[in-house]
Amino acid sequence: MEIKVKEISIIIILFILLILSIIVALSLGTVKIPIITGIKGGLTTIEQTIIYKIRLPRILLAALVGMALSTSGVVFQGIFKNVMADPYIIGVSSGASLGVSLAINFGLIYYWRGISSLALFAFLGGIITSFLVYSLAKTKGRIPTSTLLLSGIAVSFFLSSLVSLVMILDSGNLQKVFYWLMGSLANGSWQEVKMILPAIILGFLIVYFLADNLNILLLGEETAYYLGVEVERIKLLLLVAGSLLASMAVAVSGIIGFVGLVVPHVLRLILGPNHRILLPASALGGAILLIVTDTIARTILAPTELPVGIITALCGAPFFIYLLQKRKVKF
Amino acid sequence: MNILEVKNLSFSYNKAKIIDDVNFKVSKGELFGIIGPNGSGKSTLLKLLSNIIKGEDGDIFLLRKELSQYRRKDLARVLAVLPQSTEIGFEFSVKEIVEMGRHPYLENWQGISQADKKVIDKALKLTNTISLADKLINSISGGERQRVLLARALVQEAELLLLDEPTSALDINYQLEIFELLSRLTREGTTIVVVLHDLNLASQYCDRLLLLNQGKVNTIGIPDEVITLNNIKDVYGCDVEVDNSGRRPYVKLVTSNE
Repeated sequence: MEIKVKEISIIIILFILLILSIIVALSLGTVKIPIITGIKGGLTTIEQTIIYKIRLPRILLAALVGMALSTSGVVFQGIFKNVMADPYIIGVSSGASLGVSLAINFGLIYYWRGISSLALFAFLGGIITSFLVYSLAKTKGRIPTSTLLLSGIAVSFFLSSLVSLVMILDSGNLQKVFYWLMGSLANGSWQEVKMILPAIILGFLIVYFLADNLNILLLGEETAYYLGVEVERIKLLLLVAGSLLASMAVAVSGIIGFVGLVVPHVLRLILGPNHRILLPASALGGAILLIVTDTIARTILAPTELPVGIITALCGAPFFIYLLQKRKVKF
Repeated sequence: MNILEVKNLSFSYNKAKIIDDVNFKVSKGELFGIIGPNGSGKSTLLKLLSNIIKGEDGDIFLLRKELSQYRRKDLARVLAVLPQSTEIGFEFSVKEIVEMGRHPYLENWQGISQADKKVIDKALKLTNTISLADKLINSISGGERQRVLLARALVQEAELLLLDEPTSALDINYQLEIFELLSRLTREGTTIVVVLHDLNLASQYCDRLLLLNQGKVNTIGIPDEVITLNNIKDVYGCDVEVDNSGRRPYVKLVTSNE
């Protein structure tokens, strides 16, 4: 499928918005650093430290997490052929967080070239959950919204209770794990950025490479098969890549819900379902959304910080209800 | 030349034989109809021919090569299938849907070439869907949609076309239009196998028919040999009249209160 001028313009606009949001987010915080001063190069040493050591890594982490969540939302919506799918709603985020909590509880934290074993445990938890929910939700070759939501919620509840159980058994870390679970980028540093950057780029490239296949899969698996798509292999690759993206986000920021639902939905209304364009647009849109919400999270009640997951849920949950109300969901 | 050759094909589901030792050949340019009552195994037979389910016994040769020997994309270049359920929950445009028919010829991320565009334009013309190209697939009527999906199958430029009840949801004018088009395609060299429940459409348009009964071949032959009083009574268990005054046999229902 071809990419039209309108679509390229929207990608460019999103890119400019991303740069603007990064600049504005850099200047906002407990210490306000006027943008003009930054451009003129008149920053004090303290201001430089705040920008390079604290704000920039956190903003980049927000961008990566937003991109990962939103892209994995598009992927799950494509595989499940259902706009209500999102890593949070189908329980992949809970699975990844269980992986992380178990690793923390049993002291299985190792580092290899800056990559923490937590990322691996998050990935394992995420991918097992996605396969589980997929096979539970599938009835007669289709995945109806009702069974998708019910099996996602059931699995999610089960895994969340396990996470709580692990937390209580290990009450020493209770507050830390609790805060992380609500979804927060407060611990974001260059180390986290380096840890998830390669995995997120890899995940995105796999998915983007399969954009055409993803388009055809939307016509149904039988039709995709007749059009020469190796359905099972492609679906497996997509499930792995989608879980990788979502669980990397969870590994560094806990559970941030609804980003993967809201961003692809809005962009699909504007751009249509062609994944060649929907995927990059959603990646950019997710990055922008999370930079903006995280900036709100750390400034609105400053010096107290809110977990950003609270803000995305406060905006996202009503949106979810609105989608359910409409029900005649347009793709 | 035989395009399709089916030898001793059997298929069971939950220990019940759905397809039982079926044999037939289809030669190039034929419009071959598969008919039979509900539950006779018509759709299962078509699924076996489509390679989406595998028979437990027997072989299916397409262009002298066993179906399972084909790589996925290679098969999609010689075999196009139009399944019965065609629900599309996404707002693709008609043009986008038809373009997807070129998938078997494209590498990942390869764009549509000028040659591909010609094939697409030809299919849109043949199916009379050019004016729909920019509309959304879910905004057009059932008849238009079926023509669009047929265009997508044509774009695959396959030697063999398999259709499952292509006109069951359509008004008579569209039924005629689709079958006129299918006849024309076979004259141009495409081979078509179509599953039908409408005996008169089958009789009017198909070169040969296969009458299936409880998974077994009852009769294979030209419509005059297949659509007969005895065959219909045997297989469907009801009395009809068969009018042989026209070019092809025509089935009339006999109602009891006459």
